[in-house]
Amino acid sequence: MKSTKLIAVLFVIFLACLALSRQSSSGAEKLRIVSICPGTTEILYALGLGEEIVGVSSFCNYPEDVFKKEKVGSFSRPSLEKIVALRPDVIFATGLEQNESVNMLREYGCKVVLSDPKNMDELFESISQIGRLTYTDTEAQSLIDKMRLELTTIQDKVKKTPYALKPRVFVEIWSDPLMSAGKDSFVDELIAQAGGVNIARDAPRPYSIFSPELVIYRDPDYIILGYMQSKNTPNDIRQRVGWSKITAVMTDNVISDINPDILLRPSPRAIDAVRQIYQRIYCDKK
Amino acid sequence: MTKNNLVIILLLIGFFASIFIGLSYGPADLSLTELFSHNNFDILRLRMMRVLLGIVAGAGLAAAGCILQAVLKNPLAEPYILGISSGSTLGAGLAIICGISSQVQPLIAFIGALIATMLVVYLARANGAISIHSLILLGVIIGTVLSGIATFLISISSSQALHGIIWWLLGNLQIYDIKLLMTVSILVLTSIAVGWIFSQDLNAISIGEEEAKHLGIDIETIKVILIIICSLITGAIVSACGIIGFVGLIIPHGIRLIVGNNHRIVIPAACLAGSIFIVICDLISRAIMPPVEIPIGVITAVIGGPLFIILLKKYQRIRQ
Repeated sequence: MKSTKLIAVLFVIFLACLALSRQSSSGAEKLRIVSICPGTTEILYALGLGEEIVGVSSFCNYPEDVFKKEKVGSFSRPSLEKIVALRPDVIFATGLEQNESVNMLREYGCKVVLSDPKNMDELFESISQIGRLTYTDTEAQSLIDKMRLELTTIQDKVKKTPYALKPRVFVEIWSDPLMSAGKDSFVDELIAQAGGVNIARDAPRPYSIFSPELVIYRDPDYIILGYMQSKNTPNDIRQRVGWSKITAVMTDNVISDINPDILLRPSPRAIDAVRQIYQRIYCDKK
Repeated sequence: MTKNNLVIILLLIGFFASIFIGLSYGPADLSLTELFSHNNFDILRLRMMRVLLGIVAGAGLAAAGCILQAVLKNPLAEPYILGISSGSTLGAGLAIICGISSQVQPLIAFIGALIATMLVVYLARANGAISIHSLILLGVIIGTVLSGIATFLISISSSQALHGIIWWLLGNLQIYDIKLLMTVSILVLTSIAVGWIFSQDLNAISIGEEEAKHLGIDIETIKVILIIICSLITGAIVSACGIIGFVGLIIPHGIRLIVGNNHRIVIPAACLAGSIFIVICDLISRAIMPPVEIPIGVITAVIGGPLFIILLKKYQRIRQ
């Protein structure tokens, strides 16, 4: 009887030690970050915070290392249970569809930081905010400086072109129904930075169904496809009734090889998108 | 001139007027002379295709609604009741997820719609007869199961597929493929004509199956033919313009309130009214806030609902 009690007491002490040791090992000052926003995930990696990330959304797909991380559910419907169980110090999310989840997480006492940059300045602001929150201010500042430098180089080149001569671009976000990006969208900013004019700029919302007859009427010089439905898509576009006489189609300037992720995500790779758009609409002139 | 003739003539006038208005207004701000000039031929052609698709979709959905309401003897019957919408959504979803070219997508949606209906009809058959109750119940059940599968596929796929399907569910009349438009138009218009040939039988069936049998009508065969016709019509329309709700439900009811229950009149009148309704709704959807288009399903519901309530109230008063 006595020995059973002794064993029980020893067992409890053992468990307590185990719990304490776990706590001390995890309490080694390392941040635990969950990001349910693909763009922010990329920023975190760019700031060298790969190891601190403990959970990501299933839409996060860059860099490669992200696939080793715990998935906490899709972009618009993350699993609250999984997030809470990961005991994050900070959760990065975006507005829009995630509002409901964000409110719930906040009710659970989680620290949720929202970022939803609509242009480059807001993206820089968001990067430096993330830097402050994750004690990587210097890394954030040097990332911003690097991105700024690239942007200025491109802008110096396109500055000389007067507005009326700037290439006119139509971004097709989806084909059926035809959707495009208006002036509050990030891709509109990318086109402007690359020296182009977005012909769907007057659409009041970031993403909306766009009238196909207006694409014919406004006759863009370039069409950029922001999705990857199939390899045939540029051909499909040529076969659309009335579209064959659009300048972009006639001059074979339907651009389908820019990765949609870098076009649509406010992330450090947005600079690559600006560079690629610039090269296509200024340098590859046929 | 009888009242029904007058209604048909008024509807015909409305039909041509709606075609004219549908062609002359659009987000590209062009005057009529500009529109008909050679430079803008492409825009005119695009509008013509859209108006034609509107006519075909409106007529088809209204006719399918009339026929199904009579065959199923259920006021809630509408073209999508036999699982067609879910079958086609699953087909379209699969096509989008598998990255199949957007040109083949309508065909897959059409096949999905047909398989769903055939499954419903096959399961509802017992002892050589189709029970109407089983048909309606199975339609709802198969529909729910298929849309469950579609939702599952969407929820595990990328954001882009999600995007595509959500807009598909709201319906739209954008069309670029002239071959698709012609195939759908011919299929739908022929099916409507065949349905109309059966209008006397429909009259008998809507009185009661027993009575129809006494009149010497082979009711089981006719039911199957009519259901196949409706699923061809609806499947073709869904494959070209997604799911446009409400038209197939309220237009037949509205027309019955006005012209009575003789399907010889009800079907053509409903076709005309459905066409006018869709062409006008589509015009509103693309012209109300250019360059943005509003999903047509939103417009049909917001305009169609109140319109139907007004009609219903008016005729309730007359009957009293």
